[in-house]
Amino acid sequence: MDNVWEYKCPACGGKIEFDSSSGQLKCPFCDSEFEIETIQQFNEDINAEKADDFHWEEYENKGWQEEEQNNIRNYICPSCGGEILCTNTTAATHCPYCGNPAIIPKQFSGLYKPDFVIPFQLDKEAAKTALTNHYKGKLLLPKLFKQENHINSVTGMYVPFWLYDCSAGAHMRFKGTKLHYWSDRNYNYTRTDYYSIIREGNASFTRVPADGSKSMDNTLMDSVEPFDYNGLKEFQAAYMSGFLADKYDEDAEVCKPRINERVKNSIEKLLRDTASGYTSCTAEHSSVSLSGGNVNYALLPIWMLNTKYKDKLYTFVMNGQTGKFIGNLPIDWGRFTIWLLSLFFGISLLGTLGLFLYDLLI
Amino acid sequence: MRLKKIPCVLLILLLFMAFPSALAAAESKISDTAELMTSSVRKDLNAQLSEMENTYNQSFFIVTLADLGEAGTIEQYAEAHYTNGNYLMNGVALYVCMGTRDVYIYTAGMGSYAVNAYGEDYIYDSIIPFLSGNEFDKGFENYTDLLDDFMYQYKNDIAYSESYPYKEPLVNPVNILIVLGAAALISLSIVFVMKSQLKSVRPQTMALNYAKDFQLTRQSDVFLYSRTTRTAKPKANSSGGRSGGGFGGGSSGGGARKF
Ligand SMILES: [Zn+2]
Ligand SMILES: [Zn+2]
Repeated sequence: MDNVWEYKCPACGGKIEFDSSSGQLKCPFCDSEFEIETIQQFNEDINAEKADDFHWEEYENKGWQEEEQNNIRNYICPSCGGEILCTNTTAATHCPYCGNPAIIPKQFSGLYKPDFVIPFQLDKEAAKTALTNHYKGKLLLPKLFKQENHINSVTGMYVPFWLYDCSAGAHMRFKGTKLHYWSDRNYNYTRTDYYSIIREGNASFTRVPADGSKSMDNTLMDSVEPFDYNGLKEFQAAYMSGFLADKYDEDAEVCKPRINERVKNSIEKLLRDTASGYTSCTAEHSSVSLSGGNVNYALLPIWMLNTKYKDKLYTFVMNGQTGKFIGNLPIDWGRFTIWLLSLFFGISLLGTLGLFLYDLLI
Repeated sequence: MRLKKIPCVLLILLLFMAFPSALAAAESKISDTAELMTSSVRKDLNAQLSEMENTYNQSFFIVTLADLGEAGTIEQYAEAHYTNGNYLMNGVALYVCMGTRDVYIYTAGMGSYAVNAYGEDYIYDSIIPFLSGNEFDKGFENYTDLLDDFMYQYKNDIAYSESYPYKEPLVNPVNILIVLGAAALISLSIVFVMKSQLKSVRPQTMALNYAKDFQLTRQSDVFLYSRTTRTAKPKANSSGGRSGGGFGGGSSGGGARKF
């Protein structure tokens, strides 16, 4: 009995018993035949597979110094609940999220002091110009949206970001296929070769950002990435002068799943891209482990522009460092229809005319 | 090629509206003894053939028979019918016999220059599928259109032949549908690109901007097993048309065909 092993069939997952005396290795369920080395290796690989493991260091709180704290004011918007910070010298007049002008002061409570800041490189005028450029070339944008466009507010704001450093290692197993075609007199043949593809690798990730503000839409912040971290400075309250700062209300722990997901997807993509030459390549297993995970707290510069159109609030966001400008625009379905119909008729007419001309001339 | 028929059809419509009784009386171009055509098609083709007769100054007509009667072959029948009938020296006539399922294109004089051996082959190959499927209206319409095209070409240029083959007109319902379909696809993709320009807010699912020092520490590609499938090849159709002979030039070129 010592000479009988049990293996998992790579083709159907069924149990294959291997009797060394017979030397046969054929799956009783799907009739696939295998080399003994192949099936041993395959079974070793799948038995060694583990689950994801994301390990992060605890974020260490750096407190504010007394005089710094005295310089900072805290406001809350009674309308949307957004909280902002600004220095004593900055007049906070309205809520940057909903435009509500009646924001009220709130007791400043012990918050983390940011580790880093990227100071604003672009001013309010640049943000307004960028908005005008943002409208350009958008043929389906409602005319009225452009014409009536009274920007309700343009606000420069430091948004709290958690910056995550880590190194990621991953082990992946793919099932790859290669197709071969040939034919004889009566039949066309297709042979599919199946491969077990193993890839292991690691990469380090530096300062993957996630905004720590509930009021700020996560996808808006995703869309203005990336920031140039060469501009990252040691935080000083002086940088906040003249700008608002959002108060973080999602701590580093809360934002981690978003980072885990992005890092996992990235390392998986890096590994998958090394499996080339296959017709298809499907991941059968992946385990990612993060180590040396370290978090920093930074304030990053964002220009926010709000406008109302047909009672709907449109928010545009500009990266205050790089000038990247984003924001979804409304669509004019009337224009959409007109374009669609005129393109359709125009192309149909040209095509038919081409057919007629061909018949006439050739 | 087929374009010139549009004014032609318009003219016929006008004529039809002006003298309906005159047209009904002049159905002399079609002798449908076997009653293969519907009356509206009979009328239309009669008008079209009359118009062609005026244009090209040759006799054009269609004869359908239930049986050949005393004639031994459809060729003999046609020869006797054409020579004894009151027809022009030049002409092209189509004879169809239901009893023997024969079809024959008879060409007289100059008619055989316009519809030479190549032309006969071409017209037979086009209409026989309709005739054998008992789609007689379509078959005779197709015949008349093709005859018109061959005559037009002969009159205005040189006759179609092996070295100068007939080209199917590109304007046909299938091609127009293809054009419309392509136009729909192209215009839809253009407007959807225009629509996508309005959207610039997208979540990030990756962090490749922030990755560095990627190292591959293990890679193995192991062949597991193969699966082979086969599908039967579609059988090549062996029933090709006969290849055309040389230029006939006589009063009648090739022989009749079965359908
Ligand atoms: Zn199996
Ligand atoms: Zn608000």
